[in-house]
Amino acid sequence: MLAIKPTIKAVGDCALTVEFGNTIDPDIHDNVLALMQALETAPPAGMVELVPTYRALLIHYDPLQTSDVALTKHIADLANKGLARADGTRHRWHVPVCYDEEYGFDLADLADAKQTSVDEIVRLHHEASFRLYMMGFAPGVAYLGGLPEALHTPRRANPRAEVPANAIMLGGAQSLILTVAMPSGWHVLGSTPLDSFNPARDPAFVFGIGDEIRFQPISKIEHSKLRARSDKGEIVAECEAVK
Amino acid sequence: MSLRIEKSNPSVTIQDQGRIGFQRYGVSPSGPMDWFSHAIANHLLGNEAGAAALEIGPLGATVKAESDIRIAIASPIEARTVTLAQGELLPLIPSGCNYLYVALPGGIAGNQVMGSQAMHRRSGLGGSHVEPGQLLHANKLEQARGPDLRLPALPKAPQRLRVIEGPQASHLNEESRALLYGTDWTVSARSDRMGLRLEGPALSLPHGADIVSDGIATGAIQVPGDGHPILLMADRQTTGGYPKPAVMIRADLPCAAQLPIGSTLRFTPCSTAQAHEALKSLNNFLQTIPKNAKAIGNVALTSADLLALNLIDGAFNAQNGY
Repeated sequence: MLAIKPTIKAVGDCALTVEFGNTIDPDIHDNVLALMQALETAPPAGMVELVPTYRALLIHYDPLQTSDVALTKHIADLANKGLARADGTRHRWHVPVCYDEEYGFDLADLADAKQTSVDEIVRLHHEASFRLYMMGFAPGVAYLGGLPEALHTPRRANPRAEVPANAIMLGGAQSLILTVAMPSGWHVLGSTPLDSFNPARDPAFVFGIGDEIRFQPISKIEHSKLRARSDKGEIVAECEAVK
Repeated sequence: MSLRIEKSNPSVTIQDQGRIGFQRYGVSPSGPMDWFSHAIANHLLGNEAGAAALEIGPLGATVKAESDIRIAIASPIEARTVTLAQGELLPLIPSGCNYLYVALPGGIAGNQVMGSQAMHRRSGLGGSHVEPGQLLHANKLEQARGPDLRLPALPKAPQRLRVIEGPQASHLNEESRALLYGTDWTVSARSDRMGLRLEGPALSLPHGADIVSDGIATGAIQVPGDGHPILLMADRQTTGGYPKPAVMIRADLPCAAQLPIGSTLRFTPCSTAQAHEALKSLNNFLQTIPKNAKAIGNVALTSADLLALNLIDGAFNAQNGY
């Protein structure tokens, strides 16, 4: 049983936030996921949608169908009964990444800053196991925790005007999978041929919140081949079910 | 039945009830900036409140009837139906407000992306805006019967826009809280569908401007590092890392959306119970449409008549309409 007693607060008159803590922590996140699963299994009347983030679950509701009082009671009852660890299997994804200097703009600088080699930076990144904590900013942009401490790096003092879509980045203590081109102060390590978001494809989104992400180094040639398959709508990442 | 957009610009979009169920994937819900006027326009034609309708922003648009067609036009200034004869042109420019809504019988036909026809410019989901020359088809095929209708009165806007404090109310100290609720904030020209940027004093954040990113609700007042609040609106992001000391109640979002650039607004905290009462009151008003609408004679007004009416409308005043 997950033991954190949450704080429930109003977010305007059409949403409630259930906060399990104030830091990025897998146990706190497990609570968020467990509550989300409990609410999705038995949705209370008036619940519109759920947005999980690192340490809180945002519950959007319809005030014409329920009230904050009723919903708060419902959540408190669930939490008091004890939330079970999110049931069954999780998904572990193997995401191909080309770390070649053509895509990994910041690898050399990072290696210098850490006084190590590019190979070592790459090794540390692809041997790590990441948790997908949340998506935000743009469709499918995935925020990952679990970056090894040796790779923790403050964001760039001068953000890049444009980082291409599909970039794999790191910043602070997190890693990020980008799905759209955007300006960014994160450090670019490589590029993935996987389109984790594709509105023309069913499913449009590949990953789920809480999924485990591992990166798999590939060559430039592999990258081109997989990119061509992605263009046809294929999901070019392997997935395994893990307990 | 159909309408062609003769003149358009990025402020002209199709909006329905919004893209629901995908915020966890970073997809903004979008939907109308003024959900109330949008619903009124739809109700005037007997449509569902959330049916896809045209949102015409400050730059205006011109529409042309490609067939005989009755449309409904709603804004805080007036709400009515208009029957256009095939070939008629109708210029539509919001006056005294930012957005007006044009509903078609049965809603605007179109393909859905993730369950919605709402257009979100930044991501391009649903399209970014309505293109000049684009043809809009009504879902209904039958011509409307009976007289055109107008609403004799629209609810008055509140003097102060109501918010519920939190979720990061404690990120303000007493001084910045007093400023938040005591300032006449000015709507900046940099405002758009993502949010109203407010000009006024910088709010100090004694705990800093960083929070562990969490979810955002429409109407959230976000205070970034520079201390200048942003009122997040329809095309907002779904999550964010800046403190949100308060969130505007749904009943007052339409008023905020319709404040012209340069006008001022004031926030005032209220309880959730009061917020829900205000929302139910607006919903009750919607349920009276089209029953309580007044007939406008037996003859469809021409676009010349409508242009004349637009000239008669007075200057915008927050006390009178929205």
